[in-house]
Parts: sequence; C-alpha cells; structure tokens
Amino acid sequence: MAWKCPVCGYENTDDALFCIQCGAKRPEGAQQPQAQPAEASQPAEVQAPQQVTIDQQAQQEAQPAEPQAEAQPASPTVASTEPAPQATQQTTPQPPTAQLSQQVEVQQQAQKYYLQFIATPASALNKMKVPLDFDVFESISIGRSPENVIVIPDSEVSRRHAVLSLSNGKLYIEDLNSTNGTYVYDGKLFQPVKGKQEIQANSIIKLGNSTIVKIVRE
Amino acid sequence: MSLLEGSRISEILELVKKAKEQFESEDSLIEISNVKKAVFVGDTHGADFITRAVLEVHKDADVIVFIGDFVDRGPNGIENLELLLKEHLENPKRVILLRGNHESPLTNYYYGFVNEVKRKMGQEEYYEEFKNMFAVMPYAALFDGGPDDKYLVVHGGIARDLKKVEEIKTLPRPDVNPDNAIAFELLWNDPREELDGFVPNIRGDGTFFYGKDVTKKFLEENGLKGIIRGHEVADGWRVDVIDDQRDMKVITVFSSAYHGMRAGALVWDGEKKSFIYDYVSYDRITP
Repeated sequence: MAWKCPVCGYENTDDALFCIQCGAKRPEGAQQPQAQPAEASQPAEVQAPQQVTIDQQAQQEAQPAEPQAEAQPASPTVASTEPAPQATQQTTPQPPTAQLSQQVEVQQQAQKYYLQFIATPASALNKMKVPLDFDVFESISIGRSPENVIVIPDSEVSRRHAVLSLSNGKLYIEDLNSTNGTYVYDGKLFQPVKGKQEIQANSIIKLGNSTIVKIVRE
Repeated sequence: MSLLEGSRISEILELVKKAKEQFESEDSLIEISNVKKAVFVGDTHGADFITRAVLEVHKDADVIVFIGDFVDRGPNGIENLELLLKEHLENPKRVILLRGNHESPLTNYYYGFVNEVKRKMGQEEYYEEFKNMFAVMPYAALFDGGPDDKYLVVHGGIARDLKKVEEIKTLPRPDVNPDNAIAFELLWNDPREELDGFVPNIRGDGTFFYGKDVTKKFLEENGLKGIIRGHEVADGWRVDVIDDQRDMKVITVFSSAYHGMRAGALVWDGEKKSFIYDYVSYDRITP
C-alpha cells in the first residue's frame, strides 16, 4: 500500500522505508490521518530542503540524514497520533521494553548533533544544518560520491572522505585516507586528523581545502 | 591589435590618471552623514549594465556607495570602471568607490582583468595604470545614518588587528596588493555568525572568518550597529545576525550577474531609519 510522506506529500510505494522525494522517514502506522497533523507541524524542517534548490544533487543526498525524527520533537502536540519511540523501535535493534526505548530516545534527542556548513563551494549550502541521526545510521559517511550519508559537492572532497560515529556518548571522526585531508581546528590552526579522533560539540572541521563544517549540538 | 580605438584608449588612460589623483586626495576612510537616501552596491564584477541600472534607478539617492570588485569575472571590467570613475569624478561625494580584493594584481592576473586590458587595449602594460590607481583607493566608509545607526562599509570586513575604525585612516597608501595585514584583511575576510574568534579562511593564507563574538566586540567598541560589505556570492544579499535584540548585524550585498542569481542593492531610508533590501532588475543578455 502506498504511503504519503508527511513532510513533502510525495506518494511512496509500500517497500520504501524513506520518502524517495525528500528522504523523510516513513511514518509508523496508518498514513491518512497522520499526514495532516505532521504536515502542519514541520515548518522548521521544511526550510532545509528549500534552501538547497541550487544544488539538486546535494539536496537529495543530504536529506537522508535529516529524516522525520526531526519533525517529532518539534511536534509534541501530535505525539498521541505518532509517539516518537515507536518510530525508533523499528530501526533500533530490539529494545527490551518500550519504556527503555523511550528513555534512550529522550536522551538522544537531548544531545542531538548536527553538521552545519560554514563554507563550501556550493554556497547555498552554507548555514544549513544536517542532523546526524546516529539512531538511523550507525556511522555517517561524508564524501563527494552519492553513496555517502552526507554528500558534499566539492571537487576537493574525496569520494569517500571521512566518517562520523557516536560511541558511548562520544563523537568520533575518522579520515578515510582522503586526498586533501580532514582537519580539526584547535583554536589557532586546522590540525590534520590521523586515524580516528574524538571531537566535541562546536568542533570546526575542514574537509579538503574548500569546505568547513561545524559540529553543533542542540 | 586592440578592440578599442586609439582615441578611446587614450581617454580611458586619462580617466584612470585623473581618478588616481582624486583617490589620493581622499581619506582611506570616507565619512558619510546627513543623507536621506543612500544606496550600497556590492560586487559588480564587470557587469556595467548593473552599475548603469543602479545609477539610473537611484537618481534621487544622496549617495551611492560601490563596495569594490568592479573588475574580473564578468566581461566588461573596463567599461564598468569607466562608468564608475566618470561618475565619481563628476560628483565624488555622491558616488563613492571603495576598494575590493579584485582591485589588485593578486586577483587581476587570474580572474580576467589583465587579459581584458590586453585584449581590448592592445597592451598588457596598460594594466600598470589601473594597478597604480587601485593601490590608492579608499578602503572603507563610515556611514552615519543617525546616533544609533552607524555602519562600517567595507568590502570584506573587520581585521584581527583593527581595534578602532579610525585606524583605517592611517593605513599606508599606495599599497599594491595590499601587503599591510589590516588592509589585506579588510578586503578579504568573511563574517560567520556561527563561529567565534578569527578562524582561518578557505580563501588562503592571511584570510580569516570573523566570528560573532569578535564582531560584536568591534561594533560595541566603535559605537557601530553593523557592517555593510560584499565579497561573498549571495542571491542579492545575506544577513549575519550578531545581536538579535540590539539588531546588530553584518549585511552582505552582492550585485553581480555572473553567478546567475539576483543582483542586490541595499537602500537606506533616512526618514524611516531602516534598510530596504532591494534588487536591481537587469536584462540577462549582457550588452
């Protein structure tokens, strides 16, 4: 049975777990009644797709990292029709109880990370925040080619450039032997990342020579 | 061989010489006050038709500030400069020209203007005249729209070692590249409300992003409300918010056409004490 995306309204086929138009996560349960309230409650997140009209490729690729998990905290009023934990239950490996899952979800939401573009050749991406959904993607790959979770249209970013991961509440970045390197700003200089390195919220990261992003926690 | 006639070439060289003398007589920091209508125009980059449209549409403006980057990238750098220099010489207090990072050999050899001079005027040596004129252009303007509405107008933004706006007046001129670090950063730096401090910029050595905290400090210490600048591609304009409650901000105006987006023009309404974020309508077909 087809389902209608609560974010962009696109009619997706039954086998699609994410909206093929905008990348939002498929809502749990019945599709018809949900579409209305969710649609009305997601203005903050709809902005991001609109900002990127210049770069269609970037738009389509960046969005899988920004699924409908975002719409949930922004819409507590519709929680009764679509409780956030249920959505997680599907993607997280078998939590013992729904309650635990709920706690985990709350915790994760409390420390949600975003990757924010500071400077990149596709200037329309600047200021854009891409959520780092570690509950959807165990590790978030960054690179120029389309198979990455976050695609950066910059010729000096390698096809597979770096990986972000969250382990025991700590955030890590790993350079994948990229041609132009990955660097973390130490307050004075951009220092090259060697292997896997822990990073903090507010870290400023340079990918290659022309792209700078910031890790934001909100 | 040159595309322009000999007499026209002489006229241009004479114009450049006169403009150089005029710039030498001006301060590095131009003060603008008591205006009802002011227009701020960002990078035009060889889009003389945009410059023409601005001058035409805003005939009633008391002052029009062009915030640098008149040449390179676009095809009509010489024509754009010719128009701007003539207007400036006719009324130097009404049409104000500030230097951009593209008024320099650091960029002109790589982004088209030197080739344009060679192609249209027949000799690359003529570029020397332009270069020497660029070297003495003013760096910034201080726009006084009222007690609570003072703005620094500069191509790039603030510099690490610039504490007081008045220090701009003491920057050495001529400075061809420029080599003075403050002057260089005024023309090359970019604002980022998401950052703090001065962070190395992707534009290369010696260029920086200026973050929210350092911008706020600079504005407070100089009694300024904000900065009006160009330098970065935008669909007409962009705002970096420095202090929302006090309405402190950095406004980027971009007025070229080569990037395929809209050409912005920032209009100050002195009666309402506010800005109008306007666009310059232009024909997409360059003349």
